Amino acid sequence: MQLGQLRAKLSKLTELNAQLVAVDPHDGFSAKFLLKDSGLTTDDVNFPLLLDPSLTVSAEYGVPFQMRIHSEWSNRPATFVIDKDGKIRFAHLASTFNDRPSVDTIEKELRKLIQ
Amino acid sequence: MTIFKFQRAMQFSFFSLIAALSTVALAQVSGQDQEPGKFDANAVITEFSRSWDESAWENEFRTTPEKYMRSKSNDDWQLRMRTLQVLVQHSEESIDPLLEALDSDSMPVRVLAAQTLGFLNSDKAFAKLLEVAKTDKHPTVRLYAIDSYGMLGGKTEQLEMLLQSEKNRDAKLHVNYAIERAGTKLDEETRETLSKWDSNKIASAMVGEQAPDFTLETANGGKVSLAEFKGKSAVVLVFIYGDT
Repeated sequence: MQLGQLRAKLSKLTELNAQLVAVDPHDGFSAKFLLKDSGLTTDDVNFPLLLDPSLTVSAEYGVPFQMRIHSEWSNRPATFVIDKDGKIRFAHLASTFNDRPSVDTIEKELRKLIQ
Repeated sequence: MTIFKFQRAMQFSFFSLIAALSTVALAQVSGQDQEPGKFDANAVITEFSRSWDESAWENEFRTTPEKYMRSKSNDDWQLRMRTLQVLVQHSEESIDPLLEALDSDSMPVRVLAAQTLGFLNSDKAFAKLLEVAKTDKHPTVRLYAIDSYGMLGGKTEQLEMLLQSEKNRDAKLHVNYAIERAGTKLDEETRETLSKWDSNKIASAMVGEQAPDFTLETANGGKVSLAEFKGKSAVVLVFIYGDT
C-alpha cells in the first residue's frame, strides 16, 4: 500500500530530476512476501527500496518505535527532501498513520531547489 | 523547524538518561556484589521497563486522533533503541537475562526480549522463542518471537504448523514473513551495524543541516548510498513503516 502511494508520485519526481528512495525497517523478506502476495516482485518496485533492519539509519533520522501498526512498533512515516549538496531542506514527520505530504507539497519544495 | 529544535532538546535529556543508565542505575539495581564496569543486562531491562510506559500510551493511542502514533514530543523510542543496542553489544551477558525476561509479567519486557534475541546469534534462544511464538498470550509478543525465530534460521515445518494454529492476523502475517526466509538467518553485517553504530548520531537529521549519510542494502540486492545521487537535483527520502 505504501509503495503504491510512492509509485503514484514517481513520475512527477522523475520529471524534476529528483530521486525517490524508500527505507523499510525490515530485512527484505517481509517486502518480498507482501509483493508476491500482490502478484509483484521486488523488480516491480521502480525506485530503490532500502532495507534498514538494524534500525540505525531510521534512528539517525529520528523515526523508530513510534508507531504501532499491525501489532508491531515500527517507524513513524517520514519524508525528507535532501538537496544536491546533501543538505536537508524539508522534513515531514507523520502525526497520524496516514499523514503524508502531498505530491504538490513535495513538488513545491523541489521547485525551490531547482530555481 | 520546531520539531527538530525540540528533538535536539530531547536528545540532551536522552543522554542524561543514558549516563544514569550506565552508572547510577546499574550500581543501584545490581547491588553490592557488582564489579565496577561489569555489564548488568537485568539492570538495563529493569530500567527499560520503568521508562517505557506502555499503559499510558495505550490510553493515548485509543483516545486521541493521533491513532497508532506516539506524540512527536515523546522520546521513549531513543531509550528503546539504545537499550536494544546495548543488549546486542553485550550479547554474552544478555542472553540468559533475556531468556528469563521472556517469562516476565510485563508485556513490553517480553517484547523487548523477544525482539533482542533475534539479533543475538544464539542457539540457546531457538527453542524458547518457538515456545513463546506458540504460547504467549499477547499477539505482539508472539509476533516478535516469530520474527526472531525466523532471524535465527527458524524451521519451515515448525512455521507451517504455526501458520495453522496462529489466530491473530498480524502474527500470522509475520509467520508468512518468517517462512519467506526459508531458513535464512539474519546476516552478521546487520548485527555488526547495530552493535557498532555511533548512537551519538541519534535524531541528528535536521532541516538546514547535512543529511546523515548511509549505505544500505536494497530489496533487490546490492547496496545504495545517499552520496550516489549527487547528479540528481534532490533526493526524496521516505521512511515507510514496512507494510510495503
